Amino acid sequence: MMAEPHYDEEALIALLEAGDESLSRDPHIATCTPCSKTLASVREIADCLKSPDVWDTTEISPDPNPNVLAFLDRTQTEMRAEDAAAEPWLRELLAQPREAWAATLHAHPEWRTAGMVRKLIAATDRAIETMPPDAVEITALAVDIAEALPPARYGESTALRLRGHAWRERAYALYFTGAYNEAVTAVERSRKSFAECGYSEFDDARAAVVLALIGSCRETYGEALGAVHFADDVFGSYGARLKLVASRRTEAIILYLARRFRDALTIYHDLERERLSDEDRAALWQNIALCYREIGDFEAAGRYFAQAIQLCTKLGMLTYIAKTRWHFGRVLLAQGRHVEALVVLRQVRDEFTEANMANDVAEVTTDIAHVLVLTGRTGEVVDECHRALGYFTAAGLTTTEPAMSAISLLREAAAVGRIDAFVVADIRSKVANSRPQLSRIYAD
Amino acid sequence: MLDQNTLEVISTANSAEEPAKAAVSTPAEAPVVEVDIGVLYVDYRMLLLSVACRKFRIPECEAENLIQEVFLSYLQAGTKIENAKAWLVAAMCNASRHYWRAQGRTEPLPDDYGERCDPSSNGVADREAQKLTVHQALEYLQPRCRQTLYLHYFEGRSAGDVAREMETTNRYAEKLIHNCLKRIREIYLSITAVKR
Repeated sequence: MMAEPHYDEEALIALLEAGDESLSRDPHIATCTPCSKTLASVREIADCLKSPDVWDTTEISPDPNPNVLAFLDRTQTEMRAEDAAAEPWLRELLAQPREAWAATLHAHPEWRTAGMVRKLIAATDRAIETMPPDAVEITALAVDIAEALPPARYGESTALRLRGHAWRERAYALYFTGAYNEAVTAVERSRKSFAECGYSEFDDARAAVVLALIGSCRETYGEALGAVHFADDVFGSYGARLKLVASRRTEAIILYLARRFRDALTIYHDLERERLSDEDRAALWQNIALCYREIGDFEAAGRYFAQAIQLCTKLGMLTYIAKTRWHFGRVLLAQGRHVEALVVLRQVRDEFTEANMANDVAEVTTDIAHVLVLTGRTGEVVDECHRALGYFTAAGLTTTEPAMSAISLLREAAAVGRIDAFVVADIRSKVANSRPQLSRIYAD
Repeated sequence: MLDQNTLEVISTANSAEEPAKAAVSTPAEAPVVEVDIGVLYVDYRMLLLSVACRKFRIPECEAENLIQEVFLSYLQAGTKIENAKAWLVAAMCNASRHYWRAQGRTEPLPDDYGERCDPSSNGVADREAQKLTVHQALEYLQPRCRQTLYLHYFEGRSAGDVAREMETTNRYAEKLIHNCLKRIREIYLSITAVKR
């Protein structure tokens, strides 16, 4: 059988001119990739010809403007020099105790440069994961310097932009440590600076993501979603794919918190098609699984949990595996697959014990108790509680006292035969509520 | 099933905070050191100027100032920029709108200000680059061909109208439209091939 010949360009132009209806009726175009590609290219040119821009006769000088070129070269050179000068100053500053930083800066007025602000911001980025109170203090210094940068030296827009960056970084550090009200004030200062600058839409979008994060914690979901939608649009138009993925994930988290699980799932499934690191993909699958669990689709939840566990295992993310397995165990419990749930949850309990994750040990113990109650094996609950309490004692844990009390209560209820699913649920809430929130622990 | 949403959100915060952090964090290796800003300026100046002057009707000398601001903001972004062309074009659109907003305080905005550029749509940089190239390609066309394309595509006139305007037959006008579109595409492809 002979292959159908391709259309030549003239035939394609004639088809295009004949309109979309003729095109949609043409059987060859729909199935022929080379012809549809050529047609798309012809159509693009034809569409361009409809734009007034291509007919504009305004003359544009083809030669680069030497003044602009010289200005940009000079600015870049100065920035590099300032950044290099700030390196040893930053080392000297951070080598001192945190309490001495402000006084040290005060003693060195020559350190108050834009380069120092940039270096402090970069240092915040490193400190936020290891010592958040340091990060908060570093951003205070960055803001202090940025607020006083002389526009006469740096130019109005540069001074405003750096101020905006410093305030945004401060807002993030405050958010991270749980000081949400102060974080809101800081992010508003940041956005005000960017707005005054007028050439900082992209920077403002990054500040909007911080506002969204803060809003998700303050449960102001409407405001948070508004901010993150703005960021999505800006990142999309600036070709910032990674930032767009990040802001979409933030959006999905907000939707999850607002209990809009199906909307969150729509975003997560979109993101599944993106290029992601293995770590990000594992996290994405876990979040998808959580959404499915919330809407009661336990089969899909189990499938995604299993995929996440498999990937975490490959990556050696041990505590993450245990957490994911835990969620998976609870899905099995919800599905009524009690025997399998018990095996998984006990394995998780052992992994948490091994990793010294005390609150998690307490909480998973209540899940194990729940399975045992549902399967009529209430006698075993006492043993499970003994095991958990023994772990707490051996580890000398004092910060988990409320959790220990709750487990003791569970043991007593089981011992006297007054245990049922409601009692377990109540005790489980006590354990969950006794957990210190990570983001609050640095707040005071 | 026992409810522990709050707890789960904290546990998923590992996955929530990391991406969010990626969106806000400012890695030490900012683009400042990596990119020679002068080279970028030379590479993208015409495109950005075309956006400002042709799309936003900004005078060239003012547009050059805006370009300077756009490159300054690029230098100071403090984060990795994935797609320089898209970033610069989007920033140029924003700077141009800012320019007209500021001008609007002292003089009326252009009538079609609201229709100018949709920065939220993806691929705006590629479309602007494409328009710039088509603009360039038109300069190589014969005047008769240019007029044909102008009448038919820009003014939306039918082949019959074009025939009357150019004092020829309908059939020949149709042929002219087809040939001129084909010709400009040839020129367009040769320009883009050279660029590559």
